[in-house]
Amino acid sequence: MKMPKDILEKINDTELWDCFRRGDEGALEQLMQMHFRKLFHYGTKFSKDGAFVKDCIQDLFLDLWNRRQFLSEVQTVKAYLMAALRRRLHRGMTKKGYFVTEEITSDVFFEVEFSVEDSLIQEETTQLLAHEIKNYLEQLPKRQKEVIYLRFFEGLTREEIAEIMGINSQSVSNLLQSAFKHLKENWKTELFLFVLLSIMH
Amino acid sequence: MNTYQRADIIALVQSDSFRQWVLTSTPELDMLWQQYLLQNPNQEAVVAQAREIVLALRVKNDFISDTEIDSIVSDTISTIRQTTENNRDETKSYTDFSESTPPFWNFKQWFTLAASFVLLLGIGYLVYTLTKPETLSDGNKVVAVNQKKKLIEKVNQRESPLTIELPDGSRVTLKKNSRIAYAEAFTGSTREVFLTGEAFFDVVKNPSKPFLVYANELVTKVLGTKFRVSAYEAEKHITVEVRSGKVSVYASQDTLSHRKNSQEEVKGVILTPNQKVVFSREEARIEKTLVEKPIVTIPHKDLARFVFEDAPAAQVFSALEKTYSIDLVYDEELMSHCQLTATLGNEPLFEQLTVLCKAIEAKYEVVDGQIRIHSKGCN
Repeated sequence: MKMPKDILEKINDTELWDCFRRGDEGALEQLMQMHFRKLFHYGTKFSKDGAFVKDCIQDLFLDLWNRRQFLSEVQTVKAYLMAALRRRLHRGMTKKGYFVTEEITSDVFFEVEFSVEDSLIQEETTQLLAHEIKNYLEQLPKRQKEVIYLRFFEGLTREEIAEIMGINSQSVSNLLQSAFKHLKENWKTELFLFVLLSIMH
Repeated sequence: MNTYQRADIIALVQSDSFRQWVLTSTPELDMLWQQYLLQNPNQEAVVAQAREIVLALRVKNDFISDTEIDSIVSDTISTIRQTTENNRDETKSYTDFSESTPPFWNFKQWFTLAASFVLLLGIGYLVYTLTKPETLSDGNKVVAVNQKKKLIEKVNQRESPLTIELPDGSRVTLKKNSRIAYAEAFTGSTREVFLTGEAFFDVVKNPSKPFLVYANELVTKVLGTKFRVSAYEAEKHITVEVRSGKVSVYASQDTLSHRKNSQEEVKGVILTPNQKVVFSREEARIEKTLVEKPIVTIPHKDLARFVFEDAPAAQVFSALEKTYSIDLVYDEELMSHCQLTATLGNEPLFEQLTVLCKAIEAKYEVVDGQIRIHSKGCN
């Protein structure tokens, strides 16, 4: 069943997903167009090999298409796709020779670099603070970094992040909290130093 | 910036609601934060700075161009089209792998796969032999049997039409290279089938369970009737022709855009026997017309009575209307002096009309599923 593209653009994610499950090629096309870039950005945080990530995303869609009749309804298509890509990438990367370790290894790397667009900030002190936050985020443990990335920069909910990372949403909250805690602690030491320096002067 | 302001800025930068307001503002959030600013006017500088940081702090992403995405997408689409072509002939059972097919497998996975394959083959064979109707032979196979949803797909690869009986007793006659998919049991509130190609439907009447045919962009909805749907993937037009009963046809885009406000009745075209719609896929336009060869919709024994000798034209036309269940539109007053001698019978309707119109110097045209007769009157 095929539907014209402009119609597919109007309907929402879940309806698109239903069309996809019914075997609508147009829906497949639309889903790929909508999510490819996000998936690519996410995927390249796990592997610097862009070509490998692109292949993985294409294979993911082909595979979903072949199994479309067995797919169930999803809450968020984006989260579902990101979770599937994550698992796929991890499997692809942990392969050793002819064998694959079955479980998702917890020590897969997640590298995300941040940048500060200085031109958007007027005052120098604000710029410095932005860079400070950037540096802070970059030195976070990778799972906290991933949670921060998904929560802050992809705008996903705790539940969606839980689905993607294959953990429960309480763990997501814990990870977020510890990331913040460090940010606060970090800040406290600085404040402490600042106060100390002021007293000394 | 003092230390307190610093702390406030950091707090704002990591606040979900603040980020959302800055990045994808909604009217509600806008109100909330404007209110906050009104109540805390001294925070204005802090909010402004936090806002700058949220906007300036970004994730470095690898670049991928639209062109490249487009080419990967179209490559994927052509891949699935090829696979569909190749699979048309084969009996297929999909295995429900948890996620994907990684390039390499360990022994355990191999074994599991092999075992499930054997099992599925067994089930597949069983289902195949059990569901195989008499009409299925050589070229026709159950293409996919979905174990969970029990979706059955059938393809006619033979030259001759293939008749399939649906779970509700309705019958579908598939033309060559046409395929139909339907649930093993019509458990929902509707009876839904998915068609590619051409098929004639003889639907068992069930007013509480409408029968829906999804064919490309067109949806045909009936309660119980006989009709033909032609919707080939490669054709520019989709057509629906009605043999008996009433059929409503609408573009699936209507269904989609109306789904959100389901209160609203889905607009469509109602077809009566011998009427046909042609749906132009490019323009997404529905045109109502008549089938090429309208068929007699009354019992043949009743037909014998239609012999007219110097009869008023209106009488002949109304007989035609009844015979074919088609509306004839004409100016009765103007044509009151027109007389016709005719025997209605075996010739196709449009040939009969041509002859009749010639006799009274009239013309006819098919407009919107009706026949309009234009006459200047007779003396």
